Amino acid sequence: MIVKHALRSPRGNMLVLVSVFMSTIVLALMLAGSFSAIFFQHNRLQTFADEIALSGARKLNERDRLGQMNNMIARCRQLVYSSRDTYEEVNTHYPHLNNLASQLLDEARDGAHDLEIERQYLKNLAITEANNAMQTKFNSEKNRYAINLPWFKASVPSMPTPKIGQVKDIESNITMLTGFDDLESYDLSMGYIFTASKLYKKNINAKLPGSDNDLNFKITSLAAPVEKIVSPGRVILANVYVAAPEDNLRSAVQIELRANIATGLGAAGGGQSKILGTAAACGGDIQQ
Amino acid sequence: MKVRRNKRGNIAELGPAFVVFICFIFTPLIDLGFIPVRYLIAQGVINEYVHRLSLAEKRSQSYEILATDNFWRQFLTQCGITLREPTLKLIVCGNNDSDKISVESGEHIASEWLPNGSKGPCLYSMELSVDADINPLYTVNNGLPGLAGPVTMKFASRSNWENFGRDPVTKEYYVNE
Repeated sequence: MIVKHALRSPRGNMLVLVSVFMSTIVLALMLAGSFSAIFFQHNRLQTFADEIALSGARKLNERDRLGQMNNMIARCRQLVYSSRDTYEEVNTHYPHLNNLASQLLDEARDGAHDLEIERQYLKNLAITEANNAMQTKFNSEKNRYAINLPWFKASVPSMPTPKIGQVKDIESNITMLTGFDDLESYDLSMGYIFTASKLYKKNINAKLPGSDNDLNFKITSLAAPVEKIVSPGRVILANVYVAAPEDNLRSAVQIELRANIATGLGAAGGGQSKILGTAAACGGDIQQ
Repeated sequence: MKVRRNKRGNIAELGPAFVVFICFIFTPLIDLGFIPVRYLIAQGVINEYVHRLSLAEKRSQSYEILATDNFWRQFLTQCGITLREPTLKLIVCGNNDSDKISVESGEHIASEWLPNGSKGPCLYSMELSVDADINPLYTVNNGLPGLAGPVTMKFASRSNWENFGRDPVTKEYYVNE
């Protein structure tokens, strides 16, 4: 019996081996979990960023307000041009109707002034509403994106001030207005029209010739409807977003989400994740 | 009767057991364990990439991005994953279960499959399929796949096409350009 007790029990060895084996397995699983969690979190944040950007872009051209403003500007411009034309003709041939023609011209010019004020108001309103929509969306859902696991940690994302601009290479939604040959020729000669599509170019101040040169007719970039198909609001690639001129209406947004992420691998296994979400507003609706 | 001393016996047997354990269990397991990790990385990158391709302004731009943007391939190569023959095509699914076509690069969508066509409303998605050689941690020439050589896997991922506008110059849908 004494001899039997003195013999070594093999159970101790197995304990060591199994411990090493199990800890290795756990470590490997943590590694795999950490790396896959990085991609998982990146995809979640990308979807979130796209949703936020889309909510802002949708607000920009809500009920086609940008498209209607562009159209009103083009029509107002034509009205001023035709009123000036009438005024000059009346002055030459029907001087007794001078007062009426002058009144009509003044009304058209006043309309252009008022429209320019409204355009600036709309610009600020659309930007404010888009910012509010994005902030509301962000605030309502940001806490869902924090993760706190032993092998992966992600902070609540932050969102710096969104950029609001336009989409590269998109002209305006206004087709060249017909009825005044002189105005058409003038617009073509001034390069206001994109000849291939007969659309007014983006970001132009389509000033009128002669005495009405003091009026501003600023036209913004917005996808035009083609054969009754209106371009829907959509997520776009980050590299097609461009800043808009300061004074122009905006038709696209770009946001950035930042979140600190850390794997369970110590200080070296972490960093800040930056994700861009970019979206374009709906295109202009069909002109009535 | 000769009696083995307890402590020395333990140490003497644990050493060889450890060597056997490290060489035949531990190392191969770690080696093999890299494959699922790399698989997850590859799937994540491919999902992300096809989503990017589906956001292009025109379909032809998706093919251009695929041909010119090598960042994702280089990234995966650094992760031990080699991609071969990426194929991008547009999958159009119509009203019925049997209504499905795939449109390759350079091909045009037939008019009945367009958004205003007779088969509509259709779902349009870009599908990226690619063969990937996923290396384990240690590789040797002509090694056993999975243990000392790469395992070839086929990845396919889809993302819905975003731009349903039309080009004001050509009047064509961007998805068909």
